[in-house]
Amino acid sequence: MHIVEVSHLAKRFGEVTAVADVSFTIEPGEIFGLLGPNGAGKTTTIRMMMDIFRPDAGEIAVFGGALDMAKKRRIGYLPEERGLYKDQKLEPTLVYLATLKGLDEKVARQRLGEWLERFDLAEHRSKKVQELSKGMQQKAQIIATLLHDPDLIVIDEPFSGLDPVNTRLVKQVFEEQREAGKAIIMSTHQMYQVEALCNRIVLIDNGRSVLYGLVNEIKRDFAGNAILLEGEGDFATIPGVLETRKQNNGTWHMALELGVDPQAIFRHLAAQNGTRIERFELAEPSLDDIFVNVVSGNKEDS
Amino acid sequence: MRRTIWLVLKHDATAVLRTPTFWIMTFLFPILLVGMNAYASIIDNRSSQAAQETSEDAFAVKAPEDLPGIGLVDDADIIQRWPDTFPSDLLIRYDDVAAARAALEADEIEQYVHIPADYMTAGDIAIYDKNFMIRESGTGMGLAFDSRNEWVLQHLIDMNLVENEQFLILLRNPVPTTYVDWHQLNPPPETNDVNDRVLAEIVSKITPYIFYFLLLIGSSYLMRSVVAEKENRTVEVLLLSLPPRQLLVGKILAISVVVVIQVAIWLAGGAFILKRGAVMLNVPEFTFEPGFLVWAVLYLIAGYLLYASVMAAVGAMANSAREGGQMMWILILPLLPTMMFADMFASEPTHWLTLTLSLFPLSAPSAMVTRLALGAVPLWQNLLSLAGLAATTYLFISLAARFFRSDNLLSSAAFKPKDLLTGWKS
Repeated sequence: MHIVEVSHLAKRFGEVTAVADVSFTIEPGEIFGLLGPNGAGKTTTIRMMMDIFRPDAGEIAVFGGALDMAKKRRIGYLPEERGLYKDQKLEPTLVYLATLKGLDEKVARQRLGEWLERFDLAEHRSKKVQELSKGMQQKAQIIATLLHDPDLIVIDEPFSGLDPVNTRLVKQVFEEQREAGKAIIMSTHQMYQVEALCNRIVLIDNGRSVLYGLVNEIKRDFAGNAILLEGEGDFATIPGVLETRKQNNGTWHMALELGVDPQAIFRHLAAQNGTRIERFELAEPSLDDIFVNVVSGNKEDS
Repeated sequence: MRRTIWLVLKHDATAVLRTPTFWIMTFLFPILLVGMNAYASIIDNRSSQAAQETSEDAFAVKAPEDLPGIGLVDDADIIQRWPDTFPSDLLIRYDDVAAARAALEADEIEQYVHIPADYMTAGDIAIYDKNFMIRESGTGMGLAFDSRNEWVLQHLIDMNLVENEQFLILLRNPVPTTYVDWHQLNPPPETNDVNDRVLAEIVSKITPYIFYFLLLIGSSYLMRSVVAEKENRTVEVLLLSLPPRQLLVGKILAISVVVVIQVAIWLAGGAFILKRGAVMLNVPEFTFEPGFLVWAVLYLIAGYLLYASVMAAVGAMANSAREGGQMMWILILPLLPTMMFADMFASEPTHWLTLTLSLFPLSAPSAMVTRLALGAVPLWQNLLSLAGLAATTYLFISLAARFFRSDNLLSSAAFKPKDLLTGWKS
């Protein structure tokens, strides 16, 4: 059973079409990337998915059906703009939000203690939220998202304001959640984080899904017919290679003839005497490149 | 009660009770109110005392001290009598205008007054000043003329024209309230004595203010709470935990708890002040009509729910506390007439305006409770007013729920009047 199934979702606000046609599914135990440029319709899609907004068209099934309050409490949501009471103390604020999700107050306090320790916020528990640094507030917001142990975690720009140490900690926490079978939807503009964490993505542009699938497959689909090579030997005259070019970082870039299997090139190089191969890979573009290509390509089309 | 409503109630009530502003308002406001009323009463008492003294002893007033000498040329022979309390050198008589002018030019006097021989028929007096001559006038004095001199001159002419002191008193104050018994066509319920009337007047003045501020403070707490959750985006997280209507109900109940605490403190303080006041004035304690508190609580609850629902809708529509505040002041206007016409509630409880204000749902909470505090109100008026208020409250809560929706709560767009129409239709 899909944790989330979104089909041909659409939503208008007056004259503005926020979402035109978005479809995707999310499975248990995966981190799913919800990507798109600013104003693409990501947040509206999330809000419709969580029944905050009603869609004008399309179908949404969460945990196998329509979202009722019991199902909503199985969701942890980290909004892009932090949703905490700034003039209230950290601990009671987080306990309040957790109890609203159905957690017993005593259990909430106990769990909160563990999370605060892990995120190095224990000594700040009596401070007002506005007295915390931006990074601390972000960590507090992540705790609020996870405290009631949700099955579906929706995180919008989770690494915002975090330093590299805390970014690593948060990534580790999300990995643990995935390993525990939780489904995570992550919306972010940090493509390297998506590459590191997500196994599948959907790219939304102008309110439509323009790219959807496994990250590896998408990258492969966007890869040119080329390979990257590091090593020593004669790489100038290899059958099936159109052009060989040495890049600034010492890596060789080989453009292959149409229909040539990269594996055939690898076998040819391995059979050559005096050739040393340290790295051999398909020359895939980064997710960042794909994002820019798709979005700018859509702009040109429109 | 649903658990989530209880949680919102507990959270929001605690949040308000933890703010210093709440406790400052709770204790400072009554002190200010009582202080202002006490100051007004003291000023009133002093004025009436002074007026009474003047009226009762019209010929024995004291002349102001440090008054410079005034030259007098009295061709009409008006000034014959002189109060014993006036200094003998206050008026310096001159035989004619030339002598007075010479004295003025010699700096012996600063000014002189010429009462012409035809004063009794023409009514003109000429006043000459060292620096400049202002004008001649039959009734008033010039702008540069020392007002104390004006008072002295008026007093001297009065006492010399009217020989009988009682005539003068009546001329100055033809309807002296201290000697007149008022008989109104529609008299208010009789109270035991003057002190009871005074206390009733104080209650009639204070009650509308207390109700106004209770409703205003309570509903503005609610509006601010909603706006704050919009501004800090907490509402987005909350809406995933409970439906908007439960959030609305929880918030209204939370602030009602706050209002009840505030009322309890004010009532206890009010009872203490009335008791102490009665002891200090040596008068019987002021007592409310039987059942007053029951009616007052019913009106307060209905009134609070009415204005709270309005403010919750305002909070949902407003984009910031400032914008919400501006809308709030317009919506709270119906409570103002009761304060403006507070005196009428004590003096003319059956006047059409009094009746209208106590039956009109938006002003009924403060108007009717003010009337109830002053005396018995016919049962049919009470029931009609409360029924109208309850119906309007129900209507307003239903309307507020229409505006208290996710799209409004998550909107960051500035409020536009057409949003009201959209919300109404939805």
